[in-house]
Amino acid sequence: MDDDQLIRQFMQARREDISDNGFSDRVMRHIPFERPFWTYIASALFILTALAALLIWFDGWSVLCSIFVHIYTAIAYVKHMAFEPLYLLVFIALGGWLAIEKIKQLAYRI
Amino acid sequence: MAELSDQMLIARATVFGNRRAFDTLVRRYQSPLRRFLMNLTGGDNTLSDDLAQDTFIKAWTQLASFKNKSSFETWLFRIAYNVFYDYIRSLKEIQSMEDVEREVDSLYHEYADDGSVKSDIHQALGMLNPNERTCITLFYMEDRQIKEIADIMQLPEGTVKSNLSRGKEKMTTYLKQNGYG
Repeated sequence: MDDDQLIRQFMQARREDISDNGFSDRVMRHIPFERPFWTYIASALFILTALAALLIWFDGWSVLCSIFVHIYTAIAYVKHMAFEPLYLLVFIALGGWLAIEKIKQLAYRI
Repeated sequence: MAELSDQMLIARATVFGNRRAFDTLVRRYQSPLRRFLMNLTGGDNTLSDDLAQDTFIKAWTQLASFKNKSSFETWLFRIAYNVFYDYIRSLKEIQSMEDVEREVDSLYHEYADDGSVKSDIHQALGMLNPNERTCITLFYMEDRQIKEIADIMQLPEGTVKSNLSRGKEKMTTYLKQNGYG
């Protein structure tokens, strides 16, 4: 047996797997609960990239355009009725808030 | 989750601050990391576990700086090595690298030479200086390549090779003298 083998055999025979015994749980209890600042930036970048991909590769522009056309038509239609711009604002704010909440939920599920 | 690759888990932890993904990484690497630190501290269980915990906390806060140039395990080992030396420097007001090495050696022998510890591996590794000990441990026990050891210890590959060669010589002499050869 050469020197290299002798040392390897000696070291490998003493190599043991250390069982967890609650170590990982203790570590996770000490990990700061607040997300590091950069994770928010990373999340924002991820969502923006996903939106860009949706618009560019999945023909998102035409979908968006048709939505806008529908909204415009609806507005033009309701103009002839007793239309209150405040309703539209409330509708947009509520819709926007729901969309943001949904995106957040999806992001955390991933 | 257990079957996900390191890269996937790191991406989840980095992008979404996903603690469960990081927990999987901790469970995956706790054993080699604690074993490595045990060999640095001369078998001091409590100290190794404290240092391993600090290592994982640091890894969590610095996860964004992981560039995938080395494996996640190598990156963790580098943090652990730095955490260990930071601990040594915190013990006393240390001025030079020689002081650091002296302190590492004294800490190692304080535990490894304790009569209550019967581990022959720590007696054998005690024959080496701190750099030789780390190189030998990483090469022969953790199966790390020279390039990875250089990365962990932030030393040139040539220096790692000469530490390995000197360490090997001392270890062989010790093992043969003590009836292992």
